[in-house]
Amino acid sequence: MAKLPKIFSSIFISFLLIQSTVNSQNKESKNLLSRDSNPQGITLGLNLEGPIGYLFDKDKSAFSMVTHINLSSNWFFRGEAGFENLTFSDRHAEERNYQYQSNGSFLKAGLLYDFFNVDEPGNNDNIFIGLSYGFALQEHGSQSFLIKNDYWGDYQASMTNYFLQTHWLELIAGPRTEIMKNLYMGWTLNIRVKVFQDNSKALIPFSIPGYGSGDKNINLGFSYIIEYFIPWNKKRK
Amino acid sequence: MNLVKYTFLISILLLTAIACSDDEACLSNQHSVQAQLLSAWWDTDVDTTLTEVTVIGLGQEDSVYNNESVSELFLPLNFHTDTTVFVISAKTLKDTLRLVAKRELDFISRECGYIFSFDLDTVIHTKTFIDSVSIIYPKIKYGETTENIQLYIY
Repeated sequence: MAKLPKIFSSIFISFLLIQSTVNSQNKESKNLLSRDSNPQGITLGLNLEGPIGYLFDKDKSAFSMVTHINLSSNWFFRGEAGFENLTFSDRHAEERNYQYQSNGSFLKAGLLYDFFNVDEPGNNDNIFIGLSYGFALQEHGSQSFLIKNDYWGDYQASMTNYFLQTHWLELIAGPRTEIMKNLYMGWTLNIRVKVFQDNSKALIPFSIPGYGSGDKNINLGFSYIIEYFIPWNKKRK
Repeated sequence: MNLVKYTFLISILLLTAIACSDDEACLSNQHSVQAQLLSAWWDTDVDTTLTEVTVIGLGQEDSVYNNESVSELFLPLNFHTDTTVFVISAKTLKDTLRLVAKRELDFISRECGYIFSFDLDTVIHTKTFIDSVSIIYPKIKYGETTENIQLYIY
């Protein structure tokens, strides 16, 4: 049930993006320019997934920066770097029989293909599909955990902090639109598949930075990105 | 624009599916050895029932079973030691059952946290009314309900 507000926010933001895409295309169609290829350059932006998630789960704070770089007219490099801090608060103490804390960072790098081919003049919108590789390094532990035993007595202990790393592949798909000159906004649906983790102890990470739920081998995620475009070697029309 | 709309609709459907499939119920009392009582008087395995059975953990005041008729027993293992001892009384007769198991700390899930899993190594018993014991499935794991041992009763 706690995820419902997150879904509603996804729907809301998606509607905004679609509407802005429509507006952008209508506005640009008044020009007599035509789109022959994506403008060349680099973007720097924010992934709003972490800050929006914080509104619904105050235990977790996450932040990441995203960049897109044109490699050719339809191919883009996508990079992302960020961090995630998580500490169980007392609010959820009754429903969980353990305390948990985690701090970590992540990197993602991959290729996107833009298959949004349209003859509308000045239209720089994209629909991406691509693949990324993700890597996270985090330190996590459990200050206290309790295993109930009504007959012989409960068992209480702790798990000291230790480092672990996780590697995954991420299938990415979603649209991006230019909402103002050089300012882009977009969302992507991400299917993340864990490929390796060097966890030497029993504790499974509650959340892996950049990946999501630590006890799942496949995670679905959403990214909401706002980014600024810095052109190079080609004048934008 | 059709592509954007289709992508949007698929995304919403996937998100809804995730939200609906994320709840998990946590099981309790998943640390008991499950013992089946069989008659020692037959060549084949025949279920038997003991009457007026009381089972108490060694050193405990409370009983696991108190003057009950049973054809199987659920014997909770101790998290603090590898050996758990029970005194089983049937009417005026008493036997001691010593269960030796290796403990392993497991993390079940984000929602349910930690649990102990056990690997039953040895069962030692006195022979007042218990003829013999066989271990048929040594693992005591979260979510499993398999019988672990068979107690052959005189």
